[in-house]
Amino acid sequence: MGPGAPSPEPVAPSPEPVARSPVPRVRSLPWAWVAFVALAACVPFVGSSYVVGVAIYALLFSILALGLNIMTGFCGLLDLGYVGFYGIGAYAAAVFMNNFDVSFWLALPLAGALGALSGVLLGVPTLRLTGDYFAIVTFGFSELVILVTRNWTSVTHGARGFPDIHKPSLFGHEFLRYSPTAFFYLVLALFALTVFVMYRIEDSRLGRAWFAIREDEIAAESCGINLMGYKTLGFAIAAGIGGLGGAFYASFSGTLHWTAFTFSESVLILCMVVMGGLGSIPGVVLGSCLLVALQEGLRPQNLAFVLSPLGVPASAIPGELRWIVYGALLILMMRWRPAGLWPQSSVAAELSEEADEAE
Amino acid sequence: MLRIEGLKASYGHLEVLHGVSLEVPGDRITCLIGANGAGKSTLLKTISGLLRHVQGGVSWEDVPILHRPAPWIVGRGIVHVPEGRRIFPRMTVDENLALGAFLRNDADGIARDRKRCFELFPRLAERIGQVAGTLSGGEQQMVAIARGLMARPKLLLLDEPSLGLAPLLVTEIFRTLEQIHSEGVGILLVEQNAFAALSIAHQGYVLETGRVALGGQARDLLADERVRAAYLGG
Repeated sequence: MGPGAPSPEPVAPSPEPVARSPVPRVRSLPWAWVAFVALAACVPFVGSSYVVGVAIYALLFSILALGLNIMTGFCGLLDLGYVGFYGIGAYAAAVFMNNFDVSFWLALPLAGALGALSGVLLGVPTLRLTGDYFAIVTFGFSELVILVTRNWTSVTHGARGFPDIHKPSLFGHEFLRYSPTAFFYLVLALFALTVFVMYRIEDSRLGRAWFAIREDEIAAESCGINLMGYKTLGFAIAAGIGGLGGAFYASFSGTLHWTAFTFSESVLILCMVVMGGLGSIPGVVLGSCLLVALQEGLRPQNLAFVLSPLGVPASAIPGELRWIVYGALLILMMRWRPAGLWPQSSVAAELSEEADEAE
Repeated sequence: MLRIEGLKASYGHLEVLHGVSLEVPGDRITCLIGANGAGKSTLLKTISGLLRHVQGGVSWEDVPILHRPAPWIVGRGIVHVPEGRRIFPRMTVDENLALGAFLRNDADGIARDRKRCFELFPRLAERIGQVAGTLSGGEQQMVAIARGLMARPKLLLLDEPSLGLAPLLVTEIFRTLEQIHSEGVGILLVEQNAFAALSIAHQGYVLETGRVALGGQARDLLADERVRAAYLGG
């Protein structure tokens, strides 16, 4: 440090810098994921079709949350209307299959592409906005999707809901909804693919550009990162994943109604991302599985199953208890684990640093 | 050579630069001094393409660069190290440096430049895997400069590298800048610390409320009565 006088530096630091950053960072955990998928694949053998149905929703919401995580976790853009892309994908797949007699296997990628396209169309004029302004625009977008689905009766069947959506079939066998094993393996495959793609992206030039944008836009731009290009690409990929999820949902549920695409669903998916850990792939999956499990556990009929033998009358169980529990959970999380249940390593490092300074 | 002619820049309706003309040779250290709000940082942002509401002429190596996107300008060898040590706080020192080389794909060259950066800033070599947000102010400034060097600049635009640093550290950083220049990198240095800046610069310009008030050899500016009175504390 001393100028003028010969530098009192005791030892010259390692002249040959280590090839890669010497700090161990949790990278992809391929074997843990293979084990997770293998275990999940056993669910239809041990669980009832109700349990399989819940598992399908857990995996579907994991896919959606991983998609939203690209925007909110990787790029740092708060999206309050992610469910809009999910809705577009769902209705697009339903229209392709029922009105144009397209097979599910073609409708699925088409819905994903249409979701991505709507992401680009929304992103190009709005991604210059920052922070709260961007969040408001995305919120408005998802409300717009609902208005269209409710009022474009000739295509979406309006408020009556889209009925009798075709099922996928494979080798001449149609997927069954009352015994959803085939749907389960389909969503498990989509889930495994999504997780794989997420890890590939996280460790790529694209991922590094997104993380840089999340950290500091001006610094990212001065490194030569094309802000609008990379943000739009992130928005398109996230929206495309939402569209794919929607196509699966349309075919699995068999009917579509606008109430499945309300603001509270966007908030739910956002809660999954935040609770699990913004930017963290295993965290986001954990958050999604936990919230779907909680949602099921807190259904009045399931609560009654536990509470009735204890003498609690069914009428005393609140119908929408889950929102109270979510709210309480979020508050507790922000107090005790602000970076999420399974945080991305760099986020955790900074937050613990801040906590140390505060104390 | 960077040539700027009749450059105007504004934020919304507020014009900040009212026709600035100056020349920055690619093989020199040029410094730009002036008071707060004179438009120094705005001028750098205009050159590096971070600002869009601009008119006039800016050319680098006889190619017009105004209204070009920032990544294109980085690719032409003009690299901006923005004010206030805008590092990536949650990434390690090494990851920060890697992002500086975002547009390059010559792995060997990147590895060489990375090694050179750690020779120029030995303190960073000790903190190679540390999360950059936990470094001291001086070390963060070193990360910002090193990250700029990783883009292999021909002209480095530095915005207030001495801001908020202890005097000893300022001396250290300015010495490193001289060393960087001696390896063939042109430097355009914006500084409030006019004395330190003029001491290492070859030539300089004084910016006053969006206009060039004075320009010349650094040693002449150091001796100039008006500069002494206004910027060097008499």
